[in-house]
Amino acid sequence: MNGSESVIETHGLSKHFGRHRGIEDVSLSVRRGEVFGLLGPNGAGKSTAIRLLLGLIRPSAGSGSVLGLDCWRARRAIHRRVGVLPSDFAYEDMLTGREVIDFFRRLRGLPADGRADELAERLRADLDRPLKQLSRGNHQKIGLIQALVHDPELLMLDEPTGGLDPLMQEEFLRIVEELRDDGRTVLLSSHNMAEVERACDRVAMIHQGGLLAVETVDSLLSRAPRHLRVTFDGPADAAPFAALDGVRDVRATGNSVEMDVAGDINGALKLATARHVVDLVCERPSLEHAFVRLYEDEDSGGEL
Amino acid sequence: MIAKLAAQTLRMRLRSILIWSLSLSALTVLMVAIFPSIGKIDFEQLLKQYPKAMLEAFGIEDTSQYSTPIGYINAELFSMMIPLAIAFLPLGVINQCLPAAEERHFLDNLLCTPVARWQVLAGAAVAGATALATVLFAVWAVTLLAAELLDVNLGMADLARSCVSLWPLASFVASVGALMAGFGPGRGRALGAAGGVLVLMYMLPVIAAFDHSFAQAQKLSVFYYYNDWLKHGIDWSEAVAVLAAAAALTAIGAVLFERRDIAS
Ligand SMILES: Nc1ncnc2c1ncn2[C@@H]1O[C@H](COP(=O)(O)OP(=O)(O)OP(=O)(O)O)[C@@H](O)[C@H]1O
Ligand SMILES: [Mg+2]
Repeated sequence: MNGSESVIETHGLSKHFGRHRGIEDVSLSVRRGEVFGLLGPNGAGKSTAIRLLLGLIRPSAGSGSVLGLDCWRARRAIHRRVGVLPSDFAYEDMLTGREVIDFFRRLRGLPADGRADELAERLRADLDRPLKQLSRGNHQKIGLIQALVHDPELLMLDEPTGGLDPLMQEEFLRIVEELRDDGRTVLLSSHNMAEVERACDRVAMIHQGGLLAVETVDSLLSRAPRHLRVTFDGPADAAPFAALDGVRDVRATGNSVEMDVAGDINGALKLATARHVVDLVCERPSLEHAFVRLYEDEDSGGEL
Repeated sequence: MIAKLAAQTLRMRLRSILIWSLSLSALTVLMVAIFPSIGKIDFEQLLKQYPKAMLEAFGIEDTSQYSTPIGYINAELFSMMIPLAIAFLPLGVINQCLPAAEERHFLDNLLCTPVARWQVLAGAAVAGATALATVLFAVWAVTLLAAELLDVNLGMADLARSCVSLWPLASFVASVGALMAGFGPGRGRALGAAGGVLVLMYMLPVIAAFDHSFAQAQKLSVFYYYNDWLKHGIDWSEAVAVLAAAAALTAIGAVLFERRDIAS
């Protein structure tokens, strides 16, 4: 299998709901075998993008293809080959999880096997209670199982860990890792930076319907500012640091000074070591930091 | 695929099918039970006091119909109450499967399996028509049994005719719901539109009885044919035409449903 073959591709994909913007001119490509994250705040357009790719809504402009098939016209052929968790997973709530999963499997023409029970055990899901009796997290697990149970080559999961407790989030991330090891492709949306940082190879950042950046998680982190905290043997002064290029949010408290340093940290280090340094902490930035910076730059009209 | 969808829907609606069967049967059995005492009243004398147009409007052209059990049940139940009520059974099934399911975000799941949208709509229509047939059969069987036990002479074929006549009528009303589902989500919209059509169609022949300028217009109403079937037997070519119209509305609904956005 060609490693750079793209499984999802969009060209200028746009969706307007009347006067309201859904997404605007999104062009991206997801390669086979990667875990791809759609990241963005509420209302950014993540679900809209996924629903377009699944042919649930029709593009206003541009086009998208999934597994080489047009996402609007060939949606049924796509549905045969994907596993989907919609953003608000819900189904007839007097049915039990098992009944829902079996029904969807029958529609796919697949025989029952032990996979649903296997997944239920891993996620600690109760398959034998009606959906209406399940808590939000346990309800979400049924949605995850029905997306995974037929072992599809491509998964599209809209906020898969929504409602899951940290332990189950962890288990879910392990499942995603296994899927990647098996050569499956996963597209997932999230607001959870830590989760995307851990699970994804690449991320697309969506903000107000537009694509801000598509990058590998590594390069995004390397460009992101580092958080530096220096403690001296005497009172610290913020001013010299604030004057440096790429240094932001400088705060001096007592003998310590804290700052965010974008790009090269040598300038800040040299300035610090000119005095007697008692302690120095340089934190690897979280994706969240990187992300917030991107948004700030976008909102202030600055360059990325 | 349509069969799988319809079967699942029917499984889920089993309880409501049972309730419909029981409550409608209770009505017809009640009528059967009170007929022996009603049968003694001289309706012909009583009804002659009313203006002819008014009797016609209520489908009472021939006052002698009250003298037979089937005539009495037809006049009391099958000419208005049961048809107006039972149309909401298949309509409700379609409404649950499409606009209501869409509103509750069920369709995002269902439509991401390899079912076509038109199949979802067709499955709902088949489930509605099947539920309807089941309830009608139950009403027929229970009523006959009750008549047998109460020693009322209710013709098996006559009662069957009344029940079978309801099937195209209610299917047609449900197809208006299917058409509306093609336009968009919202439980109220399909129910409201189909309910409106139902009442309008019921009123047309009633109005035509008073105002003869509606003589032609009433032919647009399924009730015009239905009333006739109750009295003179089912005209099968008319029944097929009504069902064809229902199929056409459902098909238009399916085409619209294929082309529109699923609400989020
Ligand atoms: N059916 C619709 N009708 C009108 N506007 C819509 C519709 N669906 C989405 N929108 C709008 O499109 C924009 C993007 O919504 P979307 O649901 O894709 O955001 P999201 O990134 O998934 O947000 P969240 O993180 O809250 O799930 C929002 O402004 C939303 O109001
Ligand atoms: Mg969303």
